[in-house]
Amino acid sequence: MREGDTNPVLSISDAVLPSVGEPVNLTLWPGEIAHIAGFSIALAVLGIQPPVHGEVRFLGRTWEQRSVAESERDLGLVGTVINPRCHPARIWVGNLDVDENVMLAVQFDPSRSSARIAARANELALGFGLPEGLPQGRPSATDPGELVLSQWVRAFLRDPLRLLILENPLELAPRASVAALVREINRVRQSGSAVLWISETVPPFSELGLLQPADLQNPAFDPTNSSRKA
Amino acid sequence: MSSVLGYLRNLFVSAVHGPLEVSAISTETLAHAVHPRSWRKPVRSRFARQILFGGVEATPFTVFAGAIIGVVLTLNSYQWLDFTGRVDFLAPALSILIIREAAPAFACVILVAASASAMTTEIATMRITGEIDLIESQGINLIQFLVLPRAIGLAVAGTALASIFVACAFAASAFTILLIGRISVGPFFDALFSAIVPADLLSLVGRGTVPAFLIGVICCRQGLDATGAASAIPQAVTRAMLESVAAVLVISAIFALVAYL
Repeated sequence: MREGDTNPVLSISDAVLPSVGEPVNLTLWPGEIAHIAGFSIALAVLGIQPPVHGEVRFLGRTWEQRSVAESERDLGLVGTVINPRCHPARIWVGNLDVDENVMLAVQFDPSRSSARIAARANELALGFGLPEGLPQGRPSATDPGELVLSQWVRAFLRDPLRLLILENPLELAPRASVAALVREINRVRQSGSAVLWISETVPPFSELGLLQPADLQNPAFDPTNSSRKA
Repeated sequence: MSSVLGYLRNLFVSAVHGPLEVSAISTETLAHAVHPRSWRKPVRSRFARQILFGGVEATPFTVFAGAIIGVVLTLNSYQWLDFTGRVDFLAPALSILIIREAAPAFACVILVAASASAMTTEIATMRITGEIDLIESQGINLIQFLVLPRAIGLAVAGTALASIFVACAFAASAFTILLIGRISVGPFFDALFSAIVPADLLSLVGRGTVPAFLIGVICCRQGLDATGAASAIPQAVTRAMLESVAAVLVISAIFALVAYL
């Protein structure tokens, strides 16, 4: 938790989310990590397809309480890896190349130049195990493993990053790249980002190296449950 | 009585809803357009592609159409002016007909035929498959990313195509004059260019730019409004093309009223 943080990063109250069996109650503070058992809930969490019941608050406010400009600004604080088993159109803009897709959203940040964005994207891509940097072809013509790694780059390109939503991020990913992902997740958690991991089964947080001392001391943290008590 | 009033009310609401929405999107698009910060790399890239697809690729057909219309208008005008004994008015008449009326109207119709269908289909497909949700979930402003480059790109293409049309129509007129053989080409061109006034050029730019911009806005709006299954896409395309043609006619009428009243 950062000094001055009065609102949790994410607060889900009694929300019925797509592909999740039970209503979800969850509170995520900066630096914390939590798991929800499900397939893909990012659009519900981000207010694009709000839950029919219940409430989702990001940084203390619901998406409906924000103006369009505020929503766009605050969505820029979220990095998302969408379940690789979703329809490709829900993951990639089909008429853009993979590298254009990855850098698309951050290109609209006036404080970052295209050159800086490309440099940071290349650094992340090399770190995650893409030897030639980001793929430059269409998503439909790119190897699925490279697409997953490219999604990781897209998620971690956000700066500042307040919330990281990871839907089945290890699906189709090369084993050799997992350590780099864990390293980046721990780095952003140290910086105050909250992490929401969505998968149908609970990931082995401890084996992956994602558990931090603060998690073990937090009585509310129990990754074996499908939802956390607020 | 209340059912009649209700019907009339619904008719009124549906009639004004579309133009109001187009006006709102147009206003926001123009607000983005005047800010240099809005023109980020993805927007500039799409803008360039729109000019290529909407303008450059339609140029050969515009040359063809301009030449045909130039010949037809020259022959018809000569025929009737000769009948009334006012052949000396041929050049000024062609100048007005081509620059103020034919060129911008045909340029916009060519844009509707060449670009409206493709643009609406692209955006409607993005909406139905979920790409629009993906873009929105990343905090990208849809007007800035989708509408701005397409609408402004079409506006630039519209003016350029109208200008190309004028040039080709004038060249075809000269060729037709040569075929007629009763008027010298040199004096004809002197009279033609002397007849052009700044208002003609303003009209050409305005009637090439404004309807083309609205075509872009209308196509994007219809695409973004598509919902449900893939069958919604051709419906959106049909609505977009009809509304675009209506917009071209309305803007032409407004310019004509302003110019001649």
